Amino acid sequence: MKVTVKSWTGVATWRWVANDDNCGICRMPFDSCCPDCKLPGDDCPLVWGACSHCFHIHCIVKWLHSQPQQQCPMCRQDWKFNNK
Amino acid sequence: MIKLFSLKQQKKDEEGSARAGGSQKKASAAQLRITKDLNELNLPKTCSTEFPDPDDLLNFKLIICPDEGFYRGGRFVFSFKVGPNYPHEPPKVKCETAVYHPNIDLEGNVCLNILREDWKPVLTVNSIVYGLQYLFLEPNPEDPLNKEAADELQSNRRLFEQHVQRAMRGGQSCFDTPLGCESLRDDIQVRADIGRQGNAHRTRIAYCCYVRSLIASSKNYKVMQMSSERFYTRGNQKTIHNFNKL
Ligand SMILES: [Zn+2]
Ligand SMILES: [Zn+2]
Ligand SMILES: [Zn+2]
Repeated sequence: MKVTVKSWTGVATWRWVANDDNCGICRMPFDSCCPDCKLPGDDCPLVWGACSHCFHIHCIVKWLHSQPQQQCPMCRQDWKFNNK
Repeated sequence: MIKLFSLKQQKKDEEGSARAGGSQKKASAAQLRITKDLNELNLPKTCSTEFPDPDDLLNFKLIICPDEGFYRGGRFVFSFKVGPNYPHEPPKVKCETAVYHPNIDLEGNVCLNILREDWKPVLTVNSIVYGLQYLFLEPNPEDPLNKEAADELQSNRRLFEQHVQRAMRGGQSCFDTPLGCESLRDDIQVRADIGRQGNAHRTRIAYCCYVRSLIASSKNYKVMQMSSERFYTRGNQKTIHNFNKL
């Protein structure tokens, strides 16, 4: 039997590689976006702190803006963005 | 129970979107987050929640009935108001029950670190429930809101316990008929329905205990005395004049 592929459609799935399933601030899954965004993905990325805790960027930025001291809302260590 | 709420909400949302032709109103971030908190709520057996409006998850009540410690046998109602900035700001929590407690004042303000300076958005309603429950097991005399109660807890635990018990008896069920103190907050009106209660004498004793405990737990004796003139009995609307003799 001879099969000729005439066309094909590629399908891929993606996941953020995070050490948790949910953002600790909004509690939405990391595979979905923060409550202020519509689509998950590059528009609503995740960020990691030097402490290794991970959040939606919009969630952590909103929290840091509301605080006099920049601390991780999970462990209270000083928050530094970990650019990995 | 809570799951029912979200199902109900979902159904409502669907109906709403069907009617509005797909343009349903998006739940706010605070609503989304509180729904998750409540779905994952794991209450200790001494606690329960009440939703005066089942469609409004942002305003609800938590009832704590401690089964050990100074406050054993009491029933304390807390109101939770979840603001639009939740979880970036903690819910506003007030104690609606009159209580003699170092960390709760007569207006119902609660001194609990995670409701103030130590709040962080990864905390949940569950964390607050456990914090409040702990407050009844281990009242904290450092950093008090009711200084008299705090001093007494440190200097004379037996007297403290007596005052706690008295405040609880007065504030709630005494001789199995509740002695209403519905709005201690607003203008400290206590309605002792002497006329309707079977045993007027016992009611009066309970009432006196209650008033005394209010005074004992009050920071401001004068204010309490003035308000006391507004105490009246619902049965015959008679103002209690001999209050000062109690
Ligand atoms: Zn988030
Ligand atoms: Zn976002
Ligand atoms: Zn951290």
